Amino acid sequence: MKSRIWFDLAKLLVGFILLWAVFVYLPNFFPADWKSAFSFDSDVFDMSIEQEEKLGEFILDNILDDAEEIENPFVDSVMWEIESRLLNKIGTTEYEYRFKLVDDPLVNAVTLPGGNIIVFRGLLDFAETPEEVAAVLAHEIAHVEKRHVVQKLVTELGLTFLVTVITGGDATLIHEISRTLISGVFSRSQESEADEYGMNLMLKAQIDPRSLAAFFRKLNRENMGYDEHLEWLMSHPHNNARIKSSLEFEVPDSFVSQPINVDWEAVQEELK
Amino acid sequence: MSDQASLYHPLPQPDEIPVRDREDAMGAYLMMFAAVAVALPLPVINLIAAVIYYYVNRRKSRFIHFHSLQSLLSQLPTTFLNWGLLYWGLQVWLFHNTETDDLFWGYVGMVVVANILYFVFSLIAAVRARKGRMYYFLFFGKLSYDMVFSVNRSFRYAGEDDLKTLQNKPPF
Repeated sequence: MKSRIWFDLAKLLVGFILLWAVFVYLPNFFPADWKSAFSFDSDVFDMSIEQEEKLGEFILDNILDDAEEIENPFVDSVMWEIESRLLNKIGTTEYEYRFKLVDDPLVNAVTLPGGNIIVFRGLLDFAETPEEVAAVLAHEIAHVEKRHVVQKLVTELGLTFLVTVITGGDATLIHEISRTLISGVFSRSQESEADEYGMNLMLKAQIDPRSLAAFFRKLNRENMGYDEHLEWLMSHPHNNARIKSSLEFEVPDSFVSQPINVDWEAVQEELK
Repeated sequence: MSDQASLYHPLPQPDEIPVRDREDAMGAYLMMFAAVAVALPLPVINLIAAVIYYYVNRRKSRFIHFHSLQSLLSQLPTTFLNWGLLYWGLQVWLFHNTETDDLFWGYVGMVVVANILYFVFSLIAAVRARKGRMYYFLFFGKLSYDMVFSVNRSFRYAGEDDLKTLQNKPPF
């Protein structure tokens, strides 16, 4: 009798494991992306580009109220050189990009709604080459194009809250959103997606995608002795897997990189 | 067969089981559905309710004892699976510590099927219990039968002779 009980238990356990295995492999036989209905990565949020741009303007103004924007013609021209290399290759886009350089030692760049990207001075001080800055910007552009920022805000704050902000423009609420964007993190899948998009964009722009891995490595190396200014690392989690995937990113044999011809040392000198 | 039968108390037949006992046995399965509904999204109240129901009713008769024990034991796997899904789901969507992958979606599918199976078989068992019939789930049926009907288990039920003898003990 006892043996029959335990035999039944074994049958039950095997049944559950088989059931799990069937459901793990079953979706591979369906061509439709049925999972996207349950995923926050899909474009399911009902916020128009116009609403997003308006929200972005509010947030940008709010951040620039507290921070000093760097307006240096030489640095601006260099940044434009880097930005235009990337923007010329993103293809059709619904966004009008605006990059703002802010005088802050944080090694970071922040993506705001509506194609607004804030670059902190610390990032330019830290990067050894313009290609490394391009790698970070390509990553941030990916967050814009994939609408990660809106997805994150809707997930964390709710669509109703955001629509209220867009229509009312309440300064306190906008400050709250700015805080969420600067201190918050994207999900691992969003970061991986942004890395992949960014590296592909760099390929198209003839900028070596391995610059991202180089940047990561330097961040990690510096982070061995913790530096509170290395925000880009701290606000972009799951680094080991991302460093690995950026190192493993396949660059076609036919790829020829076209260096960004700017005097990077002069830029850094100008910012001191 | 006769050796096997001697190891276990004889099974009560439908005409020997009072309606009240049948309803209590049926209640062991039906009550769990209400408790599961109340327990969502934290699947723990159903387990507490099942334990209470079991301890309140088990001494009434072997028939009730068997069905309430089978109901209690059979909901353990689905409860643990639901806990697992809740934990995994929170890690994915609330804490963003991990992401949905094929293993996760496979687990979701398994949990859904496990809950449906538990629901369907519990309904069947409830109907059978109401008719005064035994109904054995895979594994849990045999285990409950062994725990309730084995002659080696010294468990006393209300109205049984041995319970009465315990009330007045001889002087030596």
